[in-house]
Amino acid sequence: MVFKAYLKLVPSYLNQVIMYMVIFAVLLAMVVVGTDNISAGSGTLGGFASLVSVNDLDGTEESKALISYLENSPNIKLIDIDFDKESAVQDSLYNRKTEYVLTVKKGFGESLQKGEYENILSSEVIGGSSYESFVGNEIDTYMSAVRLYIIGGSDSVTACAEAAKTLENGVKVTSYQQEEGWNEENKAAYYFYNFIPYIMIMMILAILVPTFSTFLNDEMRSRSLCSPISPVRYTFQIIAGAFVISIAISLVLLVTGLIITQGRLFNDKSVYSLIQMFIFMLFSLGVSALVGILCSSSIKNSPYVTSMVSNVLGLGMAFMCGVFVKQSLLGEGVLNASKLLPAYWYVRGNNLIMGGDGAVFDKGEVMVCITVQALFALAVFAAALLAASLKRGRRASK
Amino acid sequence: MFHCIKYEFLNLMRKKVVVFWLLGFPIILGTLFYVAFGTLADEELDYKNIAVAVIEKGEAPEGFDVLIDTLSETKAETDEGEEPLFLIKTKDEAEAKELMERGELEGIIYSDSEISLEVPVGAGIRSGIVRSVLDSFKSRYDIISSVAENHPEKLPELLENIGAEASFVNSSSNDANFDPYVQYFYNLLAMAGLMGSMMGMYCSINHQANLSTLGARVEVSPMSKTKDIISSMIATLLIHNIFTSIGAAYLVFVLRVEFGVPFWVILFVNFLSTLIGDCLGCFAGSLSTMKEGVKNGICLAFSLGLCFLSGLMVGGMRLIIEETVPFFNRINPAALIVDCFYSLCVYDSYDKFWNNVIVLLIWCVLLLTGSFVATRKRKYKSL
Repeated sequence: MVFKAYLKLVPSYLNQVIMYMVIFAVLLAMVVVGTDNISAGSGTLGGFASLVSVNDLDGTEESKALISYLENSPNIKLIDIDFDKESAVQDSLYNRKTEYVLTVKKGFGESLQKGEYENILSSEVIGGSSYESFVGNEIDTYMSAVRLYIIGGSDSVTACAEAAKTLENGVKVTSYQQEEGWNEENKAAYYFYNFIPYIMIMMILAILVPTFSTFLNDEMRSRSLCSPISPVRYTFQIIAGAFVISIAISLVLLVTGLIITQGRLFNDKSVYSLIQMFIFMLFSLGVSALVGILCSSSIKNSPYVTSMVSNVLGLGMAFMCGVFVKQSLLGEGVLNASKLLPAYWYVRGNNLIMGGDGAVFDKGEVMVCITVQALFALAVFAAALLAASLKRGRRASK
Repeated sequence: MFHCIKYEFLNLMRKKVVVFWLLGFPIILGTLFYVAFGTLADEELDYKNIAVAVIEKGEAPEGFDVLIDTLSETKAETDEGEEPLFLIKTKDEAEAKELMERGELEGIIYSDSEISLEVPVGAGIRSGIVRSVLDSFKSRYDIISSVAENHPEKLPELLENIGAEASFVNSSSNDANFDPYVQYFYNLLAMAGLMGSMMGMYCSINHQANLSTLGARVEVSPMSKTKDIISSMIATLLIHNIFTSIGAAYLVFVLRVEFGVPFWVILFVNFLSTLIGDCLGCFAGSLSTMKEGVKNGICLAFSLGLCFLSGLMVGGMRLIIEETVPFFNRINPAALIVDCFYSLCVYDSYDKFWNNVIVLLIWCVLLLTGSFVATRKRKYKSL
């Protein structure tokens, strides 16, 4: 009876859950599609691509050779922009369609023939673009080679062709595939599981806190005490209802993930990922119970408190523990502080399982991460029980 | 009127939800952004100490050892105190493989007659730099061999010039906006402004007799309704501006976030964002007889939704919208606020900035007109 009533209350709080689900789906789709595009057909050094636009004002064979060299460079992607439009360069940089705009000045070919090299090209970049130095270095390497060939007796056109050929036959690069480390095939699954601590806690809190506070409210509790149902059964049915909803949310997340990643969610180590997800779900359930109990004296305020707690906790853990930013990029102090949060251990565990962020699978270490998360879940359940018992005591003394 | 402003001010200050979302949340989120993104730009620009292993397989081309030694020795030894480009972790192949397996190397350089490089799958820009350096060395070596073969008479001149550096590219960059992650802070200020729609909503609800008891009292009071609404709006704007200015000051002076624009510009854009947030709330509050909680939820979801589309949660979202539905960026208040900051960092002129300001002001006029039309001359048969 209580169980059914609990489930009937759920649809009233679905709006926020749907909103978070949409955010999650968009976030995951963007990351999966975005990273798929970067690595598509880009060879051994396929982890990045710099976006370069070239404005060829010279139009000679020498300038075309330079463009051709950039085009064939494995980590450079040439982007067309309409240079006839007055603000094309600024607009493209502004919208980050391109990161580096190279202008081949008029007289480029002639300058090479004369042996003049100073400032024969110009570039416009947004300061701070990560690949600014890389592209600059690639152009310098090519131009140095052209210059040396010209000094070595070649004419400018031949020098350009020879330079391109020499750089094309650069050092042999091979890829090393870690046995237990990062595997490109796990990329989609890695991002899916990495977002779980954020989205799980937001969704579960949004739906469970108001329902918990409604059923554990003093008035409801008093009514249930004079009903034929025992308090233990009443509590058990509420917990069962919350558990079923949490499982349903987890399943919906998994199905959404399966659709967005086109089935690339499972591999031979997925059992660990699913255990982690389950334990984090229990932790979120425990937090919901705790907040629900604390808010139960004022149901009217519970939606406000829920959004405050879920946003602070969800976003706080996501930013501090490496959900949105890799753990290796966070400061040492931040990482030390985040060890006091379960999301740190979840993300660490996910890195180990999937070989993300430079980690390599280690069963023992994964188990440590899972155990720590389980202890957090246990602690938060204990805190919820303590809060409930204190509340009961206060009610009895009234 | 000042009396009304004072009490409206006190009334709003007592709404804990409003204080949390408008003052507490931006400060908390700003701190979290700072924690997560504060050093990220520096990390991306850190091309030093690239972990490599150098394995000697055979006799390397002449000068290769010197190159590796030069790039891996700390400049402290050469009195400049700079960090080296390469950090050689090992010269033992087995250990190098082990380090590679653990993801602790950006590349293994094999020193032989043919230099080769092994990089981890999905290698990033740091491995790219290693390749670039090796390519550069190899190309010079190949050029010398080629010239020695084809134009031996030019060899002395070539060797004389090989060390000389030329500056081929004249580079210009706008370094005001050097941190690409600063857009998260722009979005944060936009969010703080738009979330004020909750306060604007109260301003509207508190003047409608069918929506609140306070509205009923105001309705029967002898005070001019226009005067009361104006004083209420002034109080709302005032408190909202105080909150967002505290938030902005916290970001600029405590966290030392580089916005790339002067502080007065931040305050001016803040004023605009609070104005549009309050007008939005006023409009939402005057639309129908929905419960306060529902309207609150709508304001929150609408503000956060607009901010999501301007890149608060996902940095590249504004650019995706720009590529797919650019018109939406021209009318989305959150994107316009972010654009106000960003345009000053990228463009030399204020044209785009003022365009955004004008569109924001048009929004304010439309929303205010809408809410006045919806609430004017209302009469109640019973309450």
